Amino acid sequence: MAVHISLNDKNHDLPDGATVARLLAGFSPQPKGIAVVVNGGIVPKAAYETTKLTDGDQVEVLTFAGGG
Amino acid sequence: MPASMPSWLNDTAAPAVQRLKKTLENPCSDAALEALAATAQALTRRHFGRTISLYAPLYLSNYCSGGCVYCGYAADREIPRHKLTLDQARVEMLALRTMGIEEILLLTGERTPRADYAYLRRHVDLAAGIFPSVAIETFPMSEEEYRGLVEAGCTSVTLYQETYDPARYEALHRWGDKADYLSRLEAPERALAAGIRHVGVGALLGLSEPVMEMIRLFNHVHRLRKKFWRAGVSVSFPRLRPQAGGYQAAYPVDERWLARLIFILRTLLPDTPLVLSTRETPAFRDGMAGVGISKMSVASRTTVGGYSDHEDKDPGQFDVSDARDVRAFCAMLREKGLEPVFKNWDMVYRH
Amino acid sequence: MDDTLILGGETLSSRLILGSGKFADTATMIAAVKASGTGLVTVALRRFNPDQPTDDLMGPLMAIPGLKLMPNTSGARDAKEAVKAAYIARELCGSRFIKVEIHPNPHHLLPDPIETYEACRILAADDFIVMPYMPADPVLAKRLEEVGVASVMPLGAAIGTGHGMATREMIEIIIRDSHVPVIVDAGLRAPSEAAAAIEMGCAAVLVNSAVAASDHPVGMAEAFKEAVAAGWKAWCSGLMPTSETAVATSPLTSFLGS
Repeated sequence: MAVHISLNDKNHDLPDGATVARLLAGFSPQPKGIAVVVNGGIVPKAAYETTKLTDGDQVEVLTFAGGG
Repeated sequence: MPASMPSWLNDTAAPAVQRLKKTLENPCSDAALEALAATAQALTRRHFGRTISLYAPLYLSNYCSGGCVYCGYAADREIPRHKLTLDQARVEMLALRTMGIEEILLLTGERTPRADYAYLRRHVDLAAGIFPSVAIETFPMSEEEYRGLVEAGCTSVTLYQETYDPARYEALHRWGDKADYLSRLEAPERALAAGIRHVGVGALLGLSEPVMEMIRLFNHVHRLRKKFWRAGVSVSFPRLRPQAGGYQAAYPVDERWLARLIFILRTLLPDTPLVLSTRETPAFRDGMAGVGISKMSVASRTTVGGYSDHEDKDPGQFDVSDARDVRAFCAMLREKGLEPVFKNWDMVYRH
Repeated sequence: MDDTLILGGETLSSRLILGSGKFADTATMIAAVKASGTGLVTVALRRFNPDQPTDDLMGPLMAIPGLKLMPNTSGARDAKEAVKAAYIARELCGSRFIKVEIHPNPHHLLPDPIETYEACRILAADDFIVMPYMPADPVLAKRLEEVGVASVMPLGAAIGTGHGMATREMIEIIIRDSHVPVIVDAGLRAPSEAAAAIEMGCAAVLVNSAVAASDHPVGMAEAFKEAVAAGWKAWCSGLMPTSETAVATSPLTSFLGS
C-alpha cells in the first residue's frame, strides 16, 4: 500500500504510515532550512515525527531563496 | 521650585534647530535679511498662494484669576471688569459676521466663577451657530472639558506657553492654576486628544531670553505634529507691548529681530500657518503679510465688547497698534496683490 | 548620537540592509553580504524542489557572525497571503523580522497600501518586528506607525528602476513626522544616493539590485557600506546651512530699517 500526496503541486507516493519526517528523509541532499505546510497548516519542526501523511494531503515544502 | 522641563524641549541636535539657533544668534546684514525674506515669501506663496487668512478676536470677559506679572488683566489690577452676556455676545458676533468674518477667536482670562467653563461653553455653542470656525484662547482645561467644547463646535485652541523657561515662568506667574508650568505645556495635547482639530502655540516675546524660547517653541511644534499627525498646528508671535500693568519687557525684541524670526521659521516650517496679530503696527503688518505670515487678525478690540459700539470701556489687555477696520485692512492686502480669505470650508461636512 | 540602529529591540551595527536576490550565484551573494558589513539580509520564500536542490542560502548566511535574516512576503498578493508567508518564514528561521511586501502587479511591483496596512496590523499584534515596504505616503506612514510597525520603508523609486530618491519630498515629510526609523527601500542605484538618504535623516537604506546588478557586486557592496557610513557621519555632524542669494528687485525688508 502507498499513500498518494501532493508535494508542491506534484504527485508524490510514500509508504503507508509515512510521517513528515519520513518524507523529508527521502530528499537528497538533506535540505537544511525548510518549512512544511500540510493542508494549509504549518507543521512545527517538533511535530515532524508524529505528523502522519494520508491520501490526498496537500504538502508544501518551502525554503529561502534570494530576495530583496 | 521651578517645574522640571521635559527633555524634548531642550533638544538642539536636529539640523533644523541648529539652523534656527545660528540664524537667531548671529548678527544679520541687510542683504542677508533681504535674502531670508525672499525665501520666506517664496515659500509662503508656494504653500498658501497669494492669500492671507483672516480671523477676528472677541473678548468675552476680562475677569481673571491669574497673577501674570506682565498682564493688564491680572486679578490684582484695579480696572473695570466686564463680561458679555449671551445676548451681548450675539450682537457682537453678528456685527463681526456682517463684516465678513468667518473665523472667530473667543477670549477670556484665567478661569473665574464669573467666567468659568460653563460660561465659555455657552458662548462656544452660540458662536458655532454663527461662524463656520470657532477658536478659543482662554484657560487650560482638562481633556474632558475640551471634549465638551468639541461637542459645542469648537475647532481650534490657541494657548501660548508665555515663557518656556520654567524659572522665569515661576517668577512671572504668581499664583493660581496658571502657575502650573507643565499643566499649561501639556494643555494643547489634551485639547488634541479630545478632538480639537487645530492648536496655536507661541511664546510671549520679551519675557525670557528669546533664542532659547524659540528653540523650545520649535521643539513644541515638532512634538505636537509628530504625536498628533492629523492635527493642525500654527505659530503666533505675541510680543510684549506697553499695557496697564506697566510691565517693561526684560528681554525686549525689536521688529527687525521679530521679522528675522518669522522668516527663518517660515523656512523651517514651510507648511505651517504663521500668525500675526494687531498688536503690531500697520507698517510692520503690511510688510510681513505674505512674507512668512499667512494668517492675521483684523478688527481687534482687546476691550470687552468693542464691535457693536465704538466707545472703549476699559484700558485693554494690551494696546492695539493696528486699528484699521476689515475693509481698510482688506484693501491694503489687495493693494499688495494678496487675497483676504475668510472662508473655512471644513465645517460644511459636519452638519 | 548613537551609532547603533535598534529595530523592535534588536540592535544592528550597520545602517545598510542588503537584499539577497538577483545575484549571479550564491557565492557572489555571500561575498557581497560580507563586504557590505550589513547585519540584516532579506530573503524570500520559495518552494523547495527535491529534484533540483538549489544552493542552500541559510547555511552560509547564518555562518556570518551576528547576521540576522529578514524574510520578505514577496509573492503575496494580499494581506492574508502575506500573513501566511510571515508565519511560515518565522517557523523556517526563527527570525522575528518580517519585511511586509505586497505587490499585486507583477510588472511595476508597487506596494498595495491597503493590504500592506492590514497585514502589518495583524503581524505587529503577534510579536513580529514588522518592516513594511510601502509607497512614500506620509499618511500611510503614520497609520502604520499606529498599528505598531518597527520601521517604515518607503520606496525611493519603483523596485529595480534605479531612479534614486524620486520621492524625496515625501520622504522628508515622513522623516519629520515619524516616531519610528525611516528606511528607504527600493529605487536606489548609486552609493551617493544612499549617502544622501542618510544625510537627510533616514535611519538606514535597503538595497539589492544596485549591488546585485552592478558589474562587480562585491566592490559595489563595499561602496554602499562606505557611503552609508559617510552619510551617517554627515548627519551626526550637522550639515552647514544653505545660503540664500538676494535677487529681489524691490526690497522686502526696507520697512524694517537697518
